[in-house]
Amino acid sequence: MQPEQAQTPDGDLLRAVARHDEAALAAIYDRYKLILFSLIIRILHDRQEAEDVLQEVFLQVWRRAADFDEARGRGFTWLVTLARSRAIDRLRALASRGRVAAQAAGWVSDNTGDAASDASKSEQGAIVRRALIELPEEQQRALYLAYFEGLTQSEIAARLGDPLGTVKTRMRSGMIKLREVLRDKLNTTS
Amino acid sequence: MVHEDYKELLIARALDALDDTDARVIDEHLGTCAECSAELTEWRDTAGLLAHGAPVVEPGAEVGKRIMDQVSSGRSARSDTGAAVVQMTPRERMPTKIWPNLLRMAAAIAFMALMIGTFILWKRDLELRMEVARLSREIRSQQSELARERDTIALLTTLDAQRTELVGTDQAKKARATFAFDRETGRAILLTEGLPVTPVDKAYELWFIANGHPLPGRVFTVDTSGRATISDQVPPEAREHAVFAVTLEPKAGVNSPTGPIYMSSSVARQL
Repeated sequence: MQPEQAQTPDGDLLRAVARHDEAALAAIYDRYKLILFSLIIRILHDRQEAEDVLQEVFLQVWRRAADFDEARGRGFTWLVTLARSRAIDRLRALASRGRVAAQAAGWVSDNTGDAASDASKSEQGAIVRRALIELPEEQQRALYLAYFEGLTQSEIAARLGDPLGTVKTRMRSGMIKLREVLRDKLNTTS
Repeated sequence: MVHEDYKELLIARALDALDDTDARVIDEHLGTCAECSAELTEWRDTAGLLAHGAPVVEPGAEVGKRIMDQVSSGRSARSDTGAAVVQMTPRERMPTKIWPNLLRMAAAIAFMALMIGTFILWKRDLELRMEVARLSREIRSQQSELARERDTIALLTTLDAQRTELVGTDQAKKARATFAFDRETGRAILLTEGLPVTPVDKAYELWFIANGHPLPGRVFTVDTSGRATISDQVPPEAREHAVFAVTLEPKAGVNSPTGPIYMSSSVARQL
């Protein structure tokens, strides 16, 4: 891959990709391969499957970059949404074949230590990880089950044995707190 | 639902954590509410940051190369419309896909040709069978006709044959017939012409009249020209000085004449 165009905003890079600029795609890849691959492998727990999905995601970016609309969200959000959606689709396909059911259990809150140790790899990532660590564990668990395993609120309630209303409250509280913390910290660093 | 109820669903929608029913409800609302749409965008940005919660793992170095290779090969295969096409399958494998397709097409064409050929042969065979059956019927008919003519000739040329001419009555003035029979065996033949076409429920009946008593002979019909060739057997009592006549009777024939006389030898009008 080519050296990242570090100063180029995500939106500009994605618009260049929409014009079939291979260098722009390479820059997007270099900028986000780490976070996207980490997200995908966190969902799938399988390196080979994760690399396969990462490849699919970037080929989709190449084909669908023209669909990106900055008015409807940030470039990072668009990329992460693509990657998460693809990974969860693959997760469900694999789960239907019984390959990941055993791995999924027990991965709920064992990642914060790794996250902290890798904090130096991305300043923004480090801020987010610290913010997540600050969340009460039950809020963090509910958010992770929704985000990394693609469970609905009802499924999370069933998984944890908690009332549905409690799960909704925890997710809402966790997201509000996360937004407040990140809004302050990211604005001060950007 | 009031506006605040919809807003309660936005966070879960941003996490794709709503059940289907709630997801449909909020999605319908989002189509008409700019405020909630904007807020959902913010919540999606926040939700996207959860990706940072994953332990950092680096993909293999070859992944990026594979992506760029596929992008480059896809660009070379871009369609005329300008749409970007990414080759998800290596191009060198294309021939292996083309050949099975060609073979399938060839097999389909061969199968269709075979079916058409089979149908043509079947149809031709059916026509030939029908023609053979028709010719067989014609041959049998001609053989039967030939046999009758031989009998007729044989009878007419027999030295002992008795020949009698029948003439039409007022019912059929143009009708006439030749009646010949062998005195020894009684074998007889009647050759008619000029008789009216036989009505549907009627038939002509031959009579042997001996000593004033009519004895029934064959029942027959004629063709459109009034012709018929009838073989019969003259009873012994009618072989000497008999009179012969033809009447029109019910189709099944009768034992005693009931209908009008159409032809007769000289004195048959006495019936």
